[in-house]
Parts: sequence; structure tokens; C-alpha cells
Amino acid sequence: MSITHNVLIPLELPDPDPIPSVLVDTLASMEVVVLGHYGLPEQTPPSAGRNQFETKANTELDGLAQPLAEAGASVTTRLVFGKARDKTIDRVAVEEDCDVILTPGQAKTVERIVVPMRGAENLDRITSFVGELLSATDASVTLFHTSESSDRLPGEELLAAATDRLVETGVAPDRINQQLSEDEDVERSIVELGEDFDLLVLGETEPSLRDRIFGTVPAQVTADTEDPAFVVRDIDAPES
Amino acid sequence: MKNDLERDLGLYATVTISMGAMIGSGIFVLPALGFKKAGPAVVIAYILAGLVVLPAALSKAEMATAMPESGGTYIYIDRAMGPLAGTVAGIGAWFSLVFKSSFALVGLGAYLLLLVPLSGGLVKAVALGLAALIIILNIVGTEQSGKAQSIIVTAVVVALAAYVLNAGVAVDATRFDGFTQKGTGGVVTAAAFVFVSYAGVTKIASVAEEIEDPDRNLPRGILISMGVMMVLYTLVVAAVVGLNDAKTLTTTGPGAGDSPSLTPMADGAGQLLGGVGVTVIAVVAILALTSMANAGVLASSRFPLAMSRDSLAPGGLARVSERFQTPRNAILVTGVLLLALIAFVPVVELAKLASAFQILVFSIVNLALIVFRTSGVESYQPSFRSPGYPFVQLFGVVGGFALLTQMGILPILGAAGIIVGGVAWYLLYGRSRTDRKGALGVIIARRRDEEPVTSD
Repeated sequence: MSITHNVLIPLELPDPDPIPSVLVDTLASMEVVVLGHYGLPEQTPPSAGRNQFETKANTELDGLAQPLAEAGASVTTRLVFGKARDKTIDRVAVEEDCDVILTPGQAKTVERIVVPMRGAENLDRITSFVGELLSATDASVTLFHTSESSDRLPGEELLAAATDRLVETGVAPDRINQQLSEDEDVERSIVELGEDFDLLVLGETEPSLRDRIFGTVPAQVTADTEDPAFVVRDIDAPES
Repeated sequence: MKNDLERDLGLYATVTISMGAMIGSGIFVLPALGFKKAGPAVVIAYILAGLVVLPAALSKAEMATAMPESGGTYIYIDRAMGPLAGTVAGIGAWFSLVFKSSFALVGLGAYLLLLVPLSGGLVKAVALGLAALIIILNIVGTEQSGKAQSIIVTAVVVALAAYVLNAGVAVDATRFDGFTQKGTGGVVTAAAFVFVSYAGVTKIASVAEEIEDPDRNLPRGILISMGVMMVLYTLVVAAVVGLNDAKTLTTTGPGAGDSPSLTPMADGAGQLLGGVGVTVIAVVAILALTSMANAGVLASSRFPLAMSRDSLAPGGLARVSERFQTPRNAILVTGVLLLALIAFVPVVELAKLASAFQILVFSIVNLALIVFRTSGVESYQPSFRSPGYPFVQLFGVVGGFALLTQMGILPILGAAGIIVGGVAWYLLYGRSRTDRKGALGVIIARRRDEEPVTSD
């Protein structure tokens, strides 16, 4: 069983922060799509913005993608002008077949990775991706679960299953930690966790009604944390 | 290049976008002006106006699916009939939208004065201040005003429904006496007057590329939103007529002694619930009119921008400001016009001129569709085709001109002035800078080939 991963890195143009170089190294063996989203206010038709800023934006985007290509990743760039950033990211992820979306954030080192787990869905893809990250780094991983967010599967069993999958992909068992929490507020505890770790890997979740109002857990977490966060999309799930 | 738009607007979203663009001065300010012309039959005028707007909405929707460029009306007419007609339509549509915004702001000022005890003479000053604020907002750039607008629209529809339901109890049937007293002429004039109340339906065309299953959802979205608005207008206007003394509606406006009320909805609410009703309606009206004026400034600045990109207006108008990332120059020019109109043109004339220019532009839109279909140009491949072609379009053109002739001398002069001004601008500026022909050029060229010119 082997899953290939295609990572989408959305960057907000103009003048985005560069992708942290430690992250570039973790991505070296993957397929990467760098999406430059040039945010425009409602007043500006995207075509007018493109006309005027395209050349400059492309130069900027190529400059940001270059370290990735030099590190050995196979890189595609996309440049989109518009105002609906989140919608654009979702659309490009589908068009480019990306199963992982990275919010770059800030990182100096990648030593401790945390993987908050909600349930059994999409477990294969998440563990496969974490396995690949671990093979590219010397980092340790902490599988994390809060009791509140459980579906069907009890927390211990879920973490044990995930550990088994990781070991199957060739990760040494001593690099894997497990952590169970009783905390009710899922986003807050994940964000707090982030302070102890360098990097987050989250599974995409089906938006519930609450999510539609306040944003999904991954969206809130990536908005609140400074750490880089990989969101693994549930692309094997049937379309709802 | 991949298409940068995604089709994700369903029928419901399409209907709300369209209704959002329509709700505003048509309901909060115009009923009393229409009442003055048509008496209680102003209700009929609203329905008549809707019927005449419909063909242009269908035509615009069809052309929108063939030409997914922003620029809307101007682009369609320019590509159909060449840059001369494009210039006239672009300037006409621009003026019309700015008139509509300025009228909304004057009405907004009138509603604001209901909440704050200031003298009626301040309406204009308040409107000017609000206009300046909206212009600055647009230059700095906004992110979510579209979303805010759709929330406001929902609130307004709820408020209007409650208003109508409440009014059902309090309406005085005798106020509908003399329904026919002003005759057909009065109704047609009033219809021309309130024409602008439906102009927003063509907003559907500007998002046509994002609508899923356009063959089905475009015509339905247009018909449903028009239908709903016709019913809503009819009920609300009937409520306003039924709740108010004719004298209140026709004589309580600001300024001169006999100018019609600019706050008919609040007059009605006062009859219904007293002071609280007035406050609630005033707040709802202020929200709706602000959002309409803001959307109007945003949309109208697209016309100079699109014309500039086609070399029909100075190039600087298409420039996007590096600092704000907005087309600052196009917004500034629009803003200056807005302020000038509020300052120097009387309110009632604002409404008339907004409608007159809109009728003119919508008639040309219908003609543009006929030109496209007749020319059979390769590049014209709409994914939605207007039903009832060409009769619907011909009805739109004839109906439009019929309304225009009933509007009195000033709007007709205004419409003529726009045509003359547009032609003059084209001859002085555009002609030497452009060599587009439009689909009409194709038809003319074909005619020449078929009938060799006999020289004599």
C-alpha cells in the first residue's frame, strides 16, 4: 500500500513570508504545488489586477518556489488573482490533485511533530503522510487525541492503530509518542499543544453546522497557531 | 489557461444576489414619487416596469454567458455594435448607476433625519457626507461588503414581510378610491419613474459565469427574483398607499412645500406602530440604502475602467493603485460625479434621470442581443439562450421607448444629451484610438458583399 502525496502551499501575494527552509527540506522528495494568491479588494476586477501585477507576481512566486526545486521537489506554480482566498485554495487543491495543504507559518527546526487525531476516517492517508515526513527528518511524532472528539473508536485504540500503521511504514517505534487528553475545547488544546511542538499535521474534517459558522477545526487551528500546519484532505471519501 | 471561476452558485444564491441588487431606493424612497404620478394605481406601475425590464435581463444573461468579462453592459454593447455605441452605452450606464446611488444617498439622508432631530434642509449635507465616506471606503478597498449586503437583504425582506402583514390590519380601503383617477398616462409615467427599482436584476448577468447549470438556473433565477420582487413591491406599495393619507405622501418631502415624501415607508410605519415603527423602519432603510449606494459606487466605477482598457477613455482610469490595490482613479472620477449630482441636481430629477438612462441602456442591450444573433459571429457562443427571441427583445425595445416618451421633457433631453455627449466623446477621443468593428460591422460587411455597390 503506497500513497503518493501532492502538497499544496498557498501563499498570500504580494510580499509573502518565504517558506521556512527546514520545511523545504521535509518537502524535498514530494510533489509540490505553490499557489500564489494575489488578494484583491472587491473594487478591483481580477483581470485588471492580473494585467498590471502579473509579471511582478510571477517573479515573486518563482523566487519562492526556487528553493523547493533546488532541494529536489517537483514544483508547479499557479498564480490566481481574486478575493475568495479559501475558495481558491480548495479549488486549486482539487484541480491539481493535492491531498495535503500546508500553511507555512514559522519554524526554525522540525524536531517534534504533533498529530491531533479525531477518528478513524482518513487514517491511512494521514499516517502515510506522517511516515513520509518522518523519513525526511529526524523528528519525533506525538499522536494526540482528546476524548471529546472521539467517534465510535475509543482514543487508546485509535492511537494504537495509528502507531501500528506508522511502524508498518518503517518508523522506529521509539520515535512515536501517544498522548490522551480530557480537555473539552478541541481547538484550544491543539493550539496549546502547538506551543510545545514545531509542526502540526491535521486531518480535514467534514464541516458540521457549528463549523460552517465558526470555521472548521483545521481552519481555526491554522489561523491561531504560528507553527506550520499540514492539513491532510480526505480525498478518498465519497463526495457528499 | 484554466478558468479562474468556479460554478458554485445554485438557484437560491442566484435569486438572493439578484434581489439584493434590487432592494433599495425602489422600495424605500420611490413609492411616494410614483404615487404622486399615478395615485393608488402606482401598484400597477411597479408591475408594468418589471415586465419591461425582464427582456433586458434575459438578453444580458445570454450575452454574459458568451462574454465572461467584467465590464458588463458596456462590453456587450461595444462588442455587438462597435465602439461608438459602446461609448454611448458605457457613459449612459455609468451615469445611470451614479444617479441611482446619489438618489439612494439622498433618501438615506432623509431617513437618517427621522432618527436624529435636525432640520430638513440638512438632507443634502448629510447625503454629501455619506457619499464622501463611501468613496473613501471604496478607494481604500473592502473585502466583505458583498457578504454584508446579502445579510442586510435578508433582514430587509423579513422586515418588509412583517410590515406588510401588520399593514393588512390597519389598511384603510378607502385610500384606494380613485384608483383610476390619474388614468393610463399616469401609470405609464410612474412605471418609467420606478423602472430603476428593477435594474438590479441584471446583476445576475455579472455573476453568470459562476452559476451552475446556467441553462436552467439563469432564466429561473431571473424570473423568480423578478416575480418575487414584483409581488413584494406590489404588497409593500399597497401597504404604503393604504396606511398613509395621500397628502402625507405627496407633500412632506424636504425643501419646497409640495415635494413628495422621501420616507414613505416610515410614514406608513408611523401610522402602524407610532414612534417605534418609525425608528425600526428608518434603521432598516438606512442599512439597505447604504449597502445599495456602496454597491452602486463599486459597480459604476467598473464602466470607466472597462472603457479605459478598451482605449475609449484615458488609460489612467484603468490603473490599479499600488498602495490600495483598487482602481483609484476610476473610483475618484465616479465619486466626483456622485458628489456633483447630489449637490447640484434636485432629488426628483435624480430619480427620473436614473430611470431614463437605464431605460435607454436596457433598450440598447436588447438590440445588442439581436445584433449578435443575426451576425452569427464565430466567437459568440452563449451557453444560455434567451427564450422567446426575438419577440421578447423587440418588446423590451418598444416598451422601453414607450416609457421614455412618457417621462416628460427633462429625462428625454437627458437621454438625448447622453447620446450626443457619447458620440462627441467618441469622435474626439475614442475614434482615433480604436479600430474595433463589433458584430454589427460583420453584418454590414456581409451586406456589402451580397449587394455589390453600383457606382454612378
